[in-house]
Amino acid sequence: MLAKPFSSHGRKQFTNYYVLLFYCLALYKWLNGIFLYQIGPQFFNTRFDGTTWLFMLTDVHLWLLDNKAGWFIFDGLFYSMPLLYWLVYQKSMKWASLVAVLMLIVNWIYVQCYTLFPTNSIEAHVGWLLYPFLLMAIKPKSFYFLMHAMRYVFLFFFASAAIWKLRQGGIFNPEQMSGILLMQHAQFLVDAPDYWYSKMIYWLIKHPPIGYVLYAGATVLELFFLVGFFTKKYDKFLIALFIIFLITDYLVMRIPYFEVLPLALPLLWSRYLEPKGNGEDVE
Amino acid sequence: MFLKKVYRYNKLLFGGMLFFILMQLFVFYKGGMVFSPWYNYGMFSEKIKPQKRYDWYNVIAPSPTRRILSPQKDDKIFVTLDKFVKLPMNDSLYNHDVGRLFEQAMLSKPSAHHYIYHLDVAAIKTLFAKYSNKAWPNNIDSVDHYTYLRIAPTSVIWNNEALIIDTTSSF
Repeated sequence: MLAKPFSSHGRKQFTNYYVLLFYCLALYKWLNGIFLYQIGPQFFNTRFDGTTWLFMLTDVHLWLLDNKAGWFIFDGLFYSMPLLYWLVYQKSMKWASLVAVLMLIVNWIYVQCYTLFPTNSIEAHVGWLLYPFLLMAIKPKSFYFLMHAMRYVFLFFFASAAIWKLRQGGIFNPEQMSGILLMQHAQFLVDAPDYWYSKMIYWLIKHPPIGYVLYAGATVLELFFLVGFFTKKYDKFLIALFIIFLITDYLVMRIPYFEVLPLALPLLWSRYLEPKGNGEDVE
Repeated sequence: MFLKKVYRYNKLLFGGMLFFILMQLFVFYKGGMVFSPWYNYGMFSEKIKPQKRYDWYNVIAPSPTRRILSPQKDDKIFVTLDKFVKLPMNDSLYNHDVGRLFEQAMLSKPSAHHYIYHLDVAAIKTLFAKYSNKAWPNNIDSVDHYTYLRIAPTSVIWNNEALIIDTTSSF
C-alpha cells in the first residue's frame, strides 16, 4: 500500500492520541497519589542541572513548600493544559498555537518544581517539556518535521542508554544485574524475604549469569533503536520493544516509567510522507 | 537527509533543531552536568557490584501483596525518606558547584537560600505519617507508630544468601 502524505487529518489524530495518553497517565498518577497536592512537598533536593539552577533563582519552588493553594493551582494549570489545547484546536489552529505557548511555560515551571520535590527524575518528564514545541506548529509541514524531530529524541533516549552502558562499563560487569537488583530491592527483600517476588529476585541475584543475560538483553534492545536513525521500516517493531521494556522495567525493577510513553507517539505516524507544496494542507 | 529537508523548508526551524542536536551531543560528550531539556539517560550504566551493606528503613509496611502492584506508592514513602536523608547534599552542591558555574558564566554567586533547605525531623515524621496513612490505609492502628521512626537508614548486610539486618547497628 502506498504511503500518503501527512495531512491535517493525521495531525488531528496525533493530537487526540496525545491528549488521551496524557489523561490516562494523569489518572494513573492520581490513583497512585502523586499529583502535586497529594505529594504536599515540604522540602526539595537540588540536582546537577544548570537550567534548574537558573530556574531556582525565581524561588517558585520555595513558594510551593507547604503551600496547599499553590499545589492546587499548579496541578490545575498543568492538568488542564492539554484539554484547553484540544478544545481550542477544534475551533482555531492559530489560537491553539498560542495555547501551546502557554502550555510550554506551564509545563516547564511545573516539571522543574515537581521533580525538585521527592517524586521522580526529570528525565522521565522530557516529553512534557518538548511536546509544546510540536503543538505550536500551525502548518502540517512544520508539524511533520517537528514530529520527526521528536521521533529522533525518542530514538536517542533509548540508543544513548545502551551507549552509556558500554561507555561506563556496566555491560562488561558479569555481576551487574545482581548488584542492581540488590541496590534496587534491598528494602522490599528485607521487609518480605519469603514472598514469591523476593524469592524470584533473590534467585536472579544468586544466578549472576542469568541476571547478566537480562541486562545484556536490555542493552541489545536499547541498541536496536539505532536502526530507527536509518529507516522507519521497523518503527512498529520498535514500539513493541518499547512496550516490552516498560513492562519488564515494571516487573523486574519495579520502576514505573510510563511517563515516557508519549515520546513513542511519532513512531505511529512516521510512515506518512512529507506534505507537498509549501506546507499548506493538501486535502 | 532529514536536516537537509528541514533546511530547505524553514531556516529558523533548522537552526533550532541544529542547536538542540549540538547541545544534546555536548551534554552527552561531557557526561556530567546536564542542562534541561538535555539529559543523559545513563541510569544503571556504571559498574555496580554487590555490596556488603545496604540501607534499609525500619518501617511497618503492609503485606507484600498489597505493595507489589503499586511501586509508585512505595516510592512515595521510601524516596521521600531517602531524599530527606540526602538533604545535606544540597549544601555541598551549592558550596562546590553552583558558585563555580555562576563564576564561569561571569555571574556573582547567588544566595544560598535558593538551593539549600533544611527540614526538622518532626516535620518529616508528620509528612511520613500522612503518606503512609494514604498509601497503606488500615495497615496500622495509629500513625503514632511512626513517631518512633528513626529517620536514618539502618544497615542490612548481604551475606551472599540473603540480606539480613545488622544487629550491631544502633536503632
